[in-house]
Amino acid sequence: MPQFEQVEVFSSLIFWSLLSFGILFFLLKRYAFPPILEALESREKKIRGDIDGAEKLREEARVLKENLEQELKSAHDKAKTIVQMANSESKKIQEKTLEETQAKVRQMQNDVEREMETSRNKLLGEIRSYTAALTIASTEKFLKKALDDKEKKRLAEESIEEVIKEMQQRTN
Amino acid sequence: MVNSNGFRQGMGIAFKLGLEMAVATALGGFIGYGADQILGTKPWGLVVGIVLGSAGGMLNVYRAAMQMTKELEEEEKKTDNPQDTDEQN
Amino acid sequence: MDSPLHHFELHPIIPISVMGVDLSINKAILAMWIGCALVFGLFMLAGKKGGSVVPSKLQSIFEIAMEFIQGMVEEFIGKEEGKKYFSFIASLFIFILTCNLIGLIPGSYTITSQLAVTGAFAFGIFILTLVIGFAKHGMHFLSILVPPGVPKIMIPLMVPIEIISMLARPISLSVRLFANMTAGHTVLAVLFGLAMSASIWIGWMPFGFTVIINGLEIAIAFIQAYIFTTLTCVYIGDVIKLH
Repeated sequence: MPQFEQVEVFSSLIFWSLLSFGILFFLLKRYAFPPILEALESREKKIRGDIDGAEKLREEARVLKENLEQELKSAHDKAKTIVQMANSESKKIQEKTLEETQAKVRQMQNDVEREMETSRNKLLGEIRSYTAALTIASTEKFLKKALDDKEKKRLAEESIEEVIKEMQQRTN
Repeated sequence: MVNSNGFRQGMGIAFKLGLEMAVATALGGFIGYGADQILGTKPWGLVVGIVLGSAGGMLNVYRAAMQMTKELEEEEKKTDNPQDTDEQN
Repeated sequence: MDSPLHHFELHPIIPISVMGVDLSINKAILAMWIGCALVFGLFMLAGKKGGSVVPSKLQSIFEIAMEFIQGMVEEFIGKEEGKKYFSFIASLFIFILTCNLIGLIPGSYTITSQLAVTGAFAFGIFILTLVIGFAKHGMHFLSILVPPGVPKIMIPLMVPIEIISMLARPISLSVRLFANMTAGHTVLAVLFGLAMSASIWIGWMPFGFTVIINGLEIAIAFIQAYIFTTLTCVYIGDVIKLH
């Protein structure tokens, strides 16, 4: 095998290959790798940025939606409570009004009854007093004269008229 | 084709591991032989050198095999759920 | 007919001698230079537009290669540490791949089929791992010779074993690359020799094989370059992580 027998070329092979590798390494590192690596990195960064952006947007949308839902829910709740409150309030008011009305009605009833009572009492009193007066007047007349029927009737009418007149005078 | 490919791969692995073994053993023997020449302890240096060398070779083979197993497992993992990798891409 | 190994012989084209050391330029070195120049030219072409975000075809090929090597470096050395060694590993891969591939052109030469060259690279990488290890861990680096979980009484036995296994690594690294390249080219040479020496009636058969084996050799060129750089990554990763 010449690779083992041709010892005299080893020195040049080793020297030149190592040197060439060194130069290639330097040149690649200096000129060839940076643009390609940069492109790779920038693309990766861009993709990652895009994904991050999308993720962020999604997250934002989610938060927004959540907030909205929460707000909606709270608004719903609020409306519910308001309706409930209004309901109970109106019920209360209704009851109160009913009660008041009932009380008023009862009061009015009472009042009316009392008034009626008093007016009746008064009337009765008055009637009694007029009846008394009438009786007295008619009896007076009866006693004064013994009169015939015609006369009696006339006299009675007279006295009634008198009483009415008196009553009218009193009421007026 | 798949079969011959697997066969060639297997030959490659066998060659790789065998080379590790042979090189280390030869190196151990060489060092032992050199020690014999210098110290005049023929043939014990050679014996000890070959024993140590083959042990070192086994160590290297073991490491290489572990490396290969790891790679194989990773490949299998990749082929097991291609959907995942698809989504990642 | 010549021996199939005959074409591995090298003859100086431009004789150079510095202080008694022969540094002649020969076919292997010329082929290597041409390959390196081609690759560098391609790289410059790929990155010509300053690395646009939307890549051209050539750029995306090189980007895939770069990403591939990046993944390798990150896996074996680590994400942060790996960045420092990426250029070196990538250059190594490209260099070896170029040298492997340029030799497939008939009439050129594969410098990686010279054990002296692969040995020099493997030895250089071995020294590099030692330097990295000592620079990173100082004297504590010597603990790499004692695998974790070894009883104290085994240490005198384990240390020489570990030393031999460490020394064997660059040797197997270089021998593997050299052997693969040599074997491939020898097979090609044998087949081609057969094709040339046989009559045209039967000669087309080995010639067809040459073409097929050439395709196989391309795959082997990639695989060997990959193995060489992967193992380099593994060795560097080992001394950085220290178990």
